[in-house]
Amino acid sequence: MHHTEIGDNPLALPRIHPAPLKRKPHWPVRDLIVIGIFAAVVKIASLGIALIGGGMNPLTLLAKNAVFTSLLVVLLHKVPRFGTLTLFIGVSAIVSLLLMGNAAILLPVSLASALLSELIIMIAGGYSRTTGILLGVAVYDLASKGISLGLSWLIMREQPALLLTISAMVGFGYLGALAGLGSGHLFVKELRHAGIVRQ
Amino acid sequence: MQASFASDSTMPKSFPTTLDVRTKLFLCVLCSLSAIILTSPLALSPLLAASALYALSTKNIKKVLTAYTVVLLMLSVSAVFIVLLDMIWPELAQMEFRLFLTPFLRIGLMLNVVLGLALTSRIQSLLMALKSLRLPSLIYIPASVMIRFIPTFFNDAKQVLQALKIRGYPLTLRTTLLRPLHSLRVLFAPLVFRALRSSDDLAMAAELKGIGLTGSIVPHRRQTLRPRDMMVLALALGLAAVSFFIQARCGGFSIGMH
Repeated sequence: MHHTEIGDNPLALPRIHPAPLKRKPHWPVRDLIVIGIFAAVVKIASLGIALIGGGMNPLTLLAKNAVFTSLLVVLLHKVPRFGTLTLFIGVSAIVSLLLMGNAAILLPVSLASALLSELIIMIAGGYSRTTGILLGVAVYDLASKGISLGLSWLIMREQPALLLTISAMVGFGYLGALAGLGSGHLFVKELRHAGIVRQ
Repeated sequence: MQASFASDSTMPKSFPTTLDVRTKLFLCVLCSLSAIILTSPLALSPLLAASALYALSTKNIKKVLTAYTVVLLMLSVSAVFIVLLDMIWPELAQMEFRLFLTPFLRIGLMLNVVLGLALTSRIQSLLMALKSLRLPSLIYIPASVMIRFIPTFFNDAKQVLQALKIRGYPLTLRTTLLRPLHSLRVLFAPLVFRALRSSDDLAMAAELKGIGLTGSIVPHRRQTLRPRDMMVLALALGLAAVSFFIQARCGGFSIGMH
């Protein structure tokens, strides 16, 4: 508040001129905060499941993927706009890069997969349709896993037997991701009932 | 992350607390990149020894040992699964000691530097370090929220666990193993609800403060790298160079393959 004008009437309330603000940004702070919070929840949930399950074994692999896709489905219903998935993946990768440094190789792969799945969501009817979101998340998980396996093949091409094991584990994990789509859909229903997700 | 709870008054005075957060972040990035590239246990050992000293110099011996115990337990369970896989499909699981040792050394190295960062840094310092990287608000705001939300999430998890206990459903190892899906549901459903509620509260607070509407934010304290930061950075780079030299002489370079 910068200027006040009292005029002739001393009892009149001062007229307030608010400070000039910049034009409204494309991404509201509210949405950015939700994305940040979900990135934290996904990170801690994955870590917690890995610690409770004692590393990456079949059960934790299923649970981790299921929780990840469930949370992704909830996030895309809460912030239904183009770019949410890409931003979520980008932010998670940047924080991982700063703290652990191991996300550098997978960052471009994840971003490409996120963009691809966002395009699929748009083709499937946009973010207003649950089917499109579920399809997009399924494609994202498949694409990111597929491209990561492609990169792994580049590294392990001398010993394809090792890639076979990894592919089997990734495929098994994808079953968990598909199960997570169903639980994510149920979550969204509950959240709609509670008035937290309005879409 | 313990950093979330750390404040100036509660943090014991130690060498890592006097370092700039950007120095500690650089150590994390350098060590984890080295851990990805280096494959020989001998090459990893100089960095591992220095990082262990760095973690122990935080003077949080109990927390460091707890973290080591948890990681050891995790690796033991993984080793049991590898032994089981070896019994079912012996062509796929290789039971060489070196193949078990190298991943453990890598995890130990990364754990040491992350503990050094987490036990001796305040959330505010981490946020200021993020700000000093001059990231666009599109990245900076969610990244800050992500780091800042971690302690709140731990508190929420504690409250949910207490509520489960009061309602007669204590979440123990036995109940988790007997009914894993049910345990996952009773823990995660309330946590997601609370996370979404927290996001609404935080968003309201941010909007009231005008975050995202103003162009420039002036930091409360200006962060500068001091001579000791420069010395630590030089030492870390020197040790990394030694490790790479040992790797080149002894084991050659390969990422992920032997």
